[in-house]
Amino acid sequence: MLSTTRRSGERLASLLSGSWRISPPSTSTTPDIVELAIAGGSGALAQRPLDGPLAASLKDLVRHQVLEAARFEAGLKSRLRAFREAGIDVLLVKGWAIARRYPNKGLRHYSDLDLVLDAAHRARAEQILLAHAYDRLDTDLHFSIPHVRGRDLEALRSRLVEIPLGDEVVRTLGDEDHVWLLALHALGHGLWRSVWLVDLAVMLEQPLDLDYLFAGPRGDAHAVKLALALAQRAIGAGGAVQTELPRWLEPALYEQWGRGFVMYEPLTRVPSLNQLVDDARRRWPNPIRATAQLGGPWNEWPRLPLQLLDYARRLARFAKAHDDPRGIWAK
Amino acid sequence: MPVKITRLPVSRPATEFLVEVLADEVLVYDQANHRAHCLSPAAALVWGLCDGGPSDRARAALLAAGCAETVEAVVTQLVAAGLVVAPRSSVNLRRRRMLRTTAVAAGVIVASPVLFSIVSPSVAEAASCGKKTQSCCSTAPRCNPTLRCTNGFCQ
Repeated sequence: MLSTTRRSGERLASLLSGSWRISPPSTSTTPDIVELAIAGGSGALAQRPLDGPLAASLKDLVRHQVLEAARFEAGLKSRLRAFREAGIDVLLVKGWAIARRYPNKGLRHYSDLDLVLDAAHRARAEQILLAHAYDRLDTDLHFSIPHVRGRDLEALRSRLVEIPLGDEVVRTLGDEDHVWLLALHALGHGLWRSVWLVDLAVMLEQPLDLDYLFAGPRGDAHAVKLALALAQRAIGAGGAVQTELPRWLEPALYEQWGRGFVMYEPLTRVPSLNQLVDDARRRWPNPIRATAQLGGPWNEWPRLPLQLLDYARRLARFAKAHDDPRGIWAK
Repeated sequence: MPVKITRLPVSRPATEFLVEVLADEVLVYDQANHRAHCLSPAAALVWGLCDGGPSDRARAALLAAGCAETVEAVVTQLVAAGLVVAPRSSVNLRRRRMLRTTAVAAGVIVASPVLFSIVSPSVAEAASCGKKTQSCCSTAPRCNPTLRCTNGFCQ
């Protein structure tokens, strides 16, 4: 018998199925599923296949996202100009570079700009961002391209694309490298945001060089392939990727989506056993995250050992990172 | 008795706004105070004409576009939203005061709005992934589920 959360996750997947296409199929749902869509960053997408009061209830969110997209474009342009004038080459990944693939502005919400640049320019880049603080847009600086370890960087560089944005030019990854990055990033976070799977669906429906896409470390390539196959299976993405999913993968996705956005109370002191059990229950890593974080095999083996390890690692990391230099365990 | 406007107010400089035109409305983001507004076609039409000139042009434009709204109703709400600077000439002091009062009231009670402010989405929608060290607070969780909101920051 299916759990309630899993059934909710399945219903969310059904709502999002094809929602990114120019003419999404009509469907209906209930307010709790719309809430889950909002929590997963796909509220504006969920509005498209709906009509009536539920669609109307999402109108402000769509408006907000359209204006947010305009803000980010303006902010991106001014940052690119400043970096260009300072002689710093930057590469934009995720966010705007993916949102532009959706049929309407504002459909794909993003909340920061991820810029990759040479670490030698760090100080100057931080000054530039400080000078742009007035527009309240988050910008993350990266000093290497995330998630592409083991890929052919020469080939990656040769496939960089330049997209005009007003008077500026946005440099970003080629589609295949972007898909690779998006898939590994989403898996590493347990695919908890539904919009990440929609990103993969959108990219899958672009013409992709699959041989180049899957050229990389075998384990990562398998993970990327599974993420894409999951997008096909769960939300009806097109594309020519074919692979068998481990039996636990799809149910794990629905369980995660069905939980929505979970707020955690911080552990501010050494927890009692009861608190620890409660925390473990709420913070228990989903099998997708545990497998990706620990570089585990994407096979039919039980996920429990990986989940245990991942949870222990997170707990240790939190204890170490707490304000007290000795960690919460020292208090 | 509504105040008849003879001259339109003046729109604030265009550089202070981000404007997105949709099929049936115009979205405006005010960069000075970070507020967002949604304008009906009538409001957008009048706003575009707000250069301090005679209001008859706006009346004619509304009529030509088949809009039922009056210039007074639209201007009142544009003033309330702070998109325009209230008209100075040809409206005497008492009228200006009345206009301001009406504008404030319109911001609270609008039976048939031609303009309204946009409500922000849920915080979860705005949340980014894996944003370590991003600020947060207990009533506005911006941390993703892999992080905790501790001492005002995602950790």
